[in-house]
Amino acid sequence: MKRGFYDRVAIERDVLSLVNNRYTESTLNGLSDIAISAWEDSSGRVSNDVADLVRNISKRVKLDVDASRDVFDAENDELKSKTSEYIDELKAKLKL
Amino acid sequence: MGCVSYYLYGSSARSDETVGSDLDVLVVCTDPKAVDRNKLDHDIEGRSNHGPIDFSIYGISRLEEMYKTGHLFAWHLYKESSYLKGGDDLLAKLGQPAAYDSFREDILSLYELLGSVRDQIYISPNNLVYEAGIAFICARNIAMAASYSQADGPCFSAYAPFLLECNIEFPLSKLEYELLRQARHSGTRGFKAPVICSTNIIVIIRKLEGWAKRVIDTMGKVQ
Repeated sequence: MKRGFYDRVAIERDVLSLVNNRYTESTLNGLSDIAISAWEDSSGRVSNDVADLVRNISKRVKLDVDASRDVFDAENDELKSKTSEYIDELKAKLKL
Repeated sequence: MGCVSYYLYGSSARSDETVGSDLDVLVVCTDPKAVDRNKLDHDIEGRSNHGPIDFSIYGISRLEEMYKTGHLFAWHLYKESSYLKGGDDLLAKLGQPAAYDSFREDILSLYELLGSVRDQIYISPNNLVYEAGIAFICARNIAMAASYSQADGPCFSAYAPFLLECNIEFPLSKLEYELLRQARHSGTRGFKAPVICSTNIIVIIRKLEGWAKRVIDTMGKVQ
């Protein structure tokens, strides 16, 4: 259990807090594709652009974890920065 | 994308998978930068009734490092992975991993994470199912790490806490443990979330923290 796992938990907590404070009737319980689809179906009122953003974050997180398993420090920083951008975008969308 | 080999590990490799279990597939390659996730081979012969395939991509150089440092995942692969298809059997060439000396540190990190779950339930109550799932991971992985010092080596079963060979009884009932496991599967496999309340989960986490503390104390005495 090295840093990648704990970093992933931190990002998942951030994202889930954002969406679950907005869509309280049905919670998103994880960032797997299948969990995101289940959440969309059960909520019925998640907008497509929010769901797409969450999916993008999910993909970036997965890439972060893969990349962290190899020595690509520069690329890893870039990936993390992209993840932060998506999270900022999600914050902005959920404030609307 | 360089040499790519596929391995099965996890519950399917142990043949104790349940309905909907993920199929854990390790992809080992010489050049991970060149691997396109979308082009990985989903055709896993003879495994038609599995849940989603969860690909983990590792470069061979990273795996070599993990085997040299005795990472727990290296032990997992050494004990339970099986070659599926692809190029050379790269894992076979790595041999047995070095001793897993960092098990105490790993258990301590998981114990801290478990404490953070309790805090998070107060901070973000709407994430209760997710946090219950993290508590499951903490309990399972603490037991996996602690099991390294057992006579027959580490145990990677999802039920490792119940199988730990020491004098510390796991404090959760099977029902409580399943509740946490279902919460985890809700977030990873999209299963229906279990009905849980924060008061009960906090009680469960406190029991787990007490158990983890006793495991840590015991591990401190292990040579």
